[in-house]
Amino acid sequence: MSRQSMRANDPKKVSGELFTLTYGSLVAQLLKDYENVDDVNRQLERMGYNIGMRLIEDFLARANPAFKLYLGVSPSIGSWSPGGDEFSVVLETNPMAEFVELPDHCLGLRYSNIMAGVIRGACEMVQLEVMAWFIADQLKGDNVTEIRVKFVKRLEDAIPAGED
Amino acid sequence: MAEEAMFDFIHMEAVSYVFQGGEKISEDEAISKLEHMGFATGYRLVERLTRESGRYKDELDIMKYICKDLWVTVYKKQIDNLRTNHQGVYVLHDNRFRFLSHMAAGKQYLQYAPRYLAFTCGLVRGCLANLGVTCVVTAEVTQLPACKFQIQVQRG
Amino acid sequence: MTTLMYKFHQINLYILTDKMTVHSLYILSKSGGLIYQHDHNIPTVEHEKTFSYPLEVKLEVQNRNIVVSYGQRDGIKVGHTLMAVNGMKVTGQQLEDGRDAMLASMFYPLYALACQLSPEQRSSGIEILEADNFRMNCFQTLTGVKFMVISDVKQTGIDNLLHRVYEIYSDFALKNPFYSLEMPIRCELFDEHLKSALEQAERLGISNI
Repeated sequence: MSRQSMRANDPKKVSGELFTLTYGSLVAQLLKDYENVDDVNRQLERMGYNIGMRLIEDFLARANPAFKLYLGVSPSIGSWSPGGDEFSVVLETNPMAEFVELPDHCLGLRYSNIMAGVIRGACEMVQLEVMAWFIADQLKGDNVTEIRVKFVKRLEDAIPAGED
Repeated sequence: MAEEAMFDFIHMEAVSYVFQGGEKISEDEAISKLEHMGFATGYRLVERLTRESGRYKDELDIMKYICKDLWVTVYKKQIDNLRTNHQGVYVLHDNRFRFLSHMAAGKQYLQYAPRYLAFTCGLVRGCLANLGVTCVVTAEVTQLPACKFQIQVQRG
Repeated sequence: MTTLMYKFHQINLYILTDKMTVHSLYILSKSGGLIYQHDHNIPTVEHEKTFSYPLEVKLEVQNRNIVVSYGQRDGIKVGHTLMAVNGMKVTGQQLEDGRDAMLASMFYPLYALACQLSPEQRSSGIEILEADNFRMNCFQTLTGVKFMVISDVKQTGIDNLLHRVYEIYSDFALKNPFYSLEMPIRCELFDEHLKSALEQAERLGISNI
């Protein structure tokens, strides 16, 4: 087969869309499989957790800024709680939900919940138990997408020696 | 590079979800769920990919598009070999298929490899469906990470 | 070696002259289990010599291998490794099954102990351990996975090798859906990439001298 030039398309943009569309198909399948939207939210979070645990090594082995790298957008970090144990990850645009509009019957769906799972899984691998949940979602009419991350505890048993 | 890792991981989770998912389902049922997800993805993806491209001359032209542009977009390489019997059967050889490339080189995990091809079978079928070609897509693997996809066009 | 001398009158020794190598590699999971172990010894420069009885070189067991201890001649020097006798491969002393796992698990508390011994707070554990005949380098990731390489003291570029192994671990173990976290790594593709990384490290290590 001859190696001709590709048709004009921004490959980076398209591969982001590929991920977005694949994720969309997965969510649609979950909605079909589970009757309860809460179960879908839970399943998405669990998948994210599994991904986070593996993704963190990929990230550390290459040492690059994570969100920018894996989702193609840079979030801002802010709204620290007075105790300093809680903060928000704010996304101006959410590439995962780019083509999505929530139908009426699944308003309880936390569409991008996988992201919360990824954060939890990745933190656990570096010995931090956290909770992560959505507090604002552009799909639900909010201006931004905002994930709240709360520090629960250090997983003392799992702390490798010399990494305090 | 990294967005690619996300796509690999999401695919990995999709496969492990359908095979270990809550309710007990048969292998065939699980494969067909993956195929269905692939179809939905392919159908939408091709819509966005072909925005700027012109009309395709014929069926073979469409197949070439699948082998080059689509494959590069999704799997970061072109199909290595395209064969056809000119009667509606096309065989696409990929010598180093992305979803198998992190997995093994040889026969290890061979029996489970089909699970990692089902999504792609659906993806190709979805793309073709949106381009007006109705077909059945099957896949075969004898030695990882190589595999081949067979497209059988259904003439109505 | 005495038994050998009685058996053969004409002895053909196959001797590895360049000893600069990476001997072995271990990976310990974050909970301290040995999840991967690889013994690596690829000869680089070799000499084949025919001796008659009695041998003009003396051999002794050193660091798992049989090495020349006395009788430098014809390009063979003290410290070279015996690879084969009359076409039969000499594998040196292998550790019995399970001993590797034991040694690895003994290293784990030792590493932790080193942190405690440190006069300064927040010290890392053992990164390099050097002996007359070998050196051990250890790299611990932030997630607590330890990569350990045992090499010849002259081998260079171990830091790069350890980082490369981490990349291979994240690419060919963690991106392999059949690999479960914390379990022994039994992926052939991982083996292959690892071997080529080790060989490359040896080649580069030699050219650096």
